[in-house]
Amino acid sequence: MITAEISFKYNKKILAVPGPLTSTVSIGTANLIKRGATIVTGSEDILNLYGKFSLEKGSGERSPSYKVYPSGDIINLLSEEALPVDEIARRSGKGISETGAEITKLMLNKLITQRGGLFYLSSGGRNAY
Amino acid sequence: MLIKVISVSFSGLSTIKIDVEVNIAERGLPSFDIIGLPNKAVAESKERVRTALINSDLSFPMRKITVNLAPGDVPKEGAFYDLPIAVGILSETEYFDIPPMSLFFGELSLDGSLRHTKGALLAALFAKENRMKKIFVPKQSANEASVVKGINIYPVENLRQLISFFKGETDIIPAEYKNEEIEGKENFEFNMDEIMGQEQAKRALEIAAAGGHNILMTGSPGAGKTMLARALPGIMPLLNDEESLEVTKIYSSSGNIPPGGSLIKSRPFRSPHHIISQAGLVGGGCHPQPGEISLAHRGVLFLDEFNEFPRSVIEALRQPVEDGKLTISRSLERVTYPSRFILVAAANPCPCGYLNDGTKECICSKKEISRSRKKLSGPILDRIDLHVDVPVVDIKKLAKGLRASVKPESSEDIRKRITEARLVQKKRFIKENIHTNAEMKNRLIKKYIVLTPESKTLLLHAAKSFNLSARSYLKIIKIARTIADLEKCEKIKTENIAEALQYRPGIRE
Repeated sequence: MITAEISFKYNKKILAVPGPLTSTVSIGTANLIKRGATIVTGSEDILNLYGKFSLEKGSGERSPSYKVYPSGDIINLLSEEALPVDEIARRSGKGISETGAEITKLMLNKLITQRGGLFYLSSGGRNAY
Repeated sequence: MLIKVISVSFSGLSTIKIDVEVNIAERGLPSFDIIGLPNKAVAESKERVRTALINSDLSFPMRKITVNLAPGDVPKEGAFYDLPIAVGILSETEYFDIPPMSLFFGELSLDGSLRHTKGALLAALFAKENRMKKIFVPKQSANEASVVKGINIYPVENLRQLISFFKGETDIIPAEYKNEEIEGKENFEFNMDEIMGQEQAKRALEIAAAGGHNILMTGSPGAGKTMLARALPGIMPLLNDEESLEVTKIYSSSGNIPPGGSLIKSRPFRSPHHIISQAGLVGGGCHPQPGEISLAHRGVLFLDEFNEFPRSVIEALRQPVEDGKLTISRSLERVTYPSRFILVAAANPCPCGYLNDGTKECICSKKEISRSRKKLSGPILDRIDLHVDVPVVDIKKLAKGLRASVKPESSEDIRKRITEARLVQKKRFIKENIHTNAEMKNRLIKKYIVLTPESKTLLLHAAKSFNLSARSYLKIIKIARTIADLEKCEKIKTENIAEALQYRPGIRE
């Protein structure tokens, strides 16, 4: 936060990634945004600053034969909020076993990522949704 | 006059025959000596035998008595030579013949009665294997010894009773095996249906119990790791006959069978504190004793606060976890104890414990977090198949969200599934000398696990995406095999592989 304060003083552009408002560690970035920092919700926000376009999706590997179309339920759930795996299993009504398997496939297809114990839609997933 | 009485000596779980030669000389000053490398406890037999005889109103000969425990180059340990020595002396002074092919084993109390003595089961097994007809043991050890069929186990209460029996005046009825452990008796602390939420952790424990896989639970203090581990015994299947005998032998040899106790039927659950020494955990001491890992054989070894165990102690676990047995070498002997257990480890994600907690802030620096991760890594972590996070559960939120009709599965129901999965494995490995999927090494994995092309593709894609090692690859296949066994499927589906991947550390950030 010290760096951010100095940046404000020198009128530098600040980008901040918001966290959940329920988390105490996200108060800092929330305040930065209040004070005028640009909010970042995806890689495009950062790249736009530098005038580059976001990378094309789907370039490179051919989709493997097992590719399952994004399970509507899980993608829908995660579009609203990041969730831990137990919660995903409960809300989607699937068993934990089935949920685990689908989550792996979604991760392999780069539609969701995991961080800090929670699953999020990746930028690819957001586009798919 | 020389009398020979048969007894035994133990080295770990193996037994050898000892000839207790009792010589009562015609000439020489009265003395009583025991030779044959006796240790202190054996040497003290002299006092116990002499006092027990006198207190039983039996005469103790004032002659030169020499007791030789042959063979003479094997160190003798234990207090169980009391009975054979006493019988040897008494057969001379009380004029009775010792029945042939009989083994004697037991510690004497000063009043002439027999005390419960550890190792009775091993002695009985030895007697049976060596075609002996009878074995005489303390009454309180008889139930344990009576597990062995095909041999007469005589429960002895005291010396007078035994002499009376040998003279034909009274009868001692051979012991009959009494199964004291009630079938299905619940001896665990928590039922799985008492634990709210934690679906993935419970599922991981189910897989661990079914296939014998080791598991690491990571989570903040109070998340429920300990509670989950203590609920594990409730879903473990009962020991089969072969396993039961293995476990009972270890417990007999280390003195962990109570007086009157018998065959152990439920899986051991050991949870040593992290202050434990290396010898206490793994076994050792000058006269090798089984450690916690051997007492956990065929059961669960729960290491709570895994981060707190000294590195050297964890290092000592590596070989037993790999080989399923532990060999202790000392200057005088070399002893091997089996140690095939499921390792359940519980750890905090960082020094303060609250990384990724969601309700409390983590106050560790990045350096501290990385250092604690490094400490956790290493030989043991590589050998843990299942890695699962145990998050803090918000009970209020959970209660609101769950429909009233949905109750968590009970331990009994989960155990049924697991028992059937174990039977599948028993059939699969009937020609091999292993019991569970987790024990498979390269050769057996190739032999018993066949993947469909779709599964292979998925696995290879995952290996590349998540940078999985070859060791990880093999573990995933084994976990998937267990998952398929739980579903009673012959073939391993891609869903099974996909689910197995969720339990590997490589896919987390």
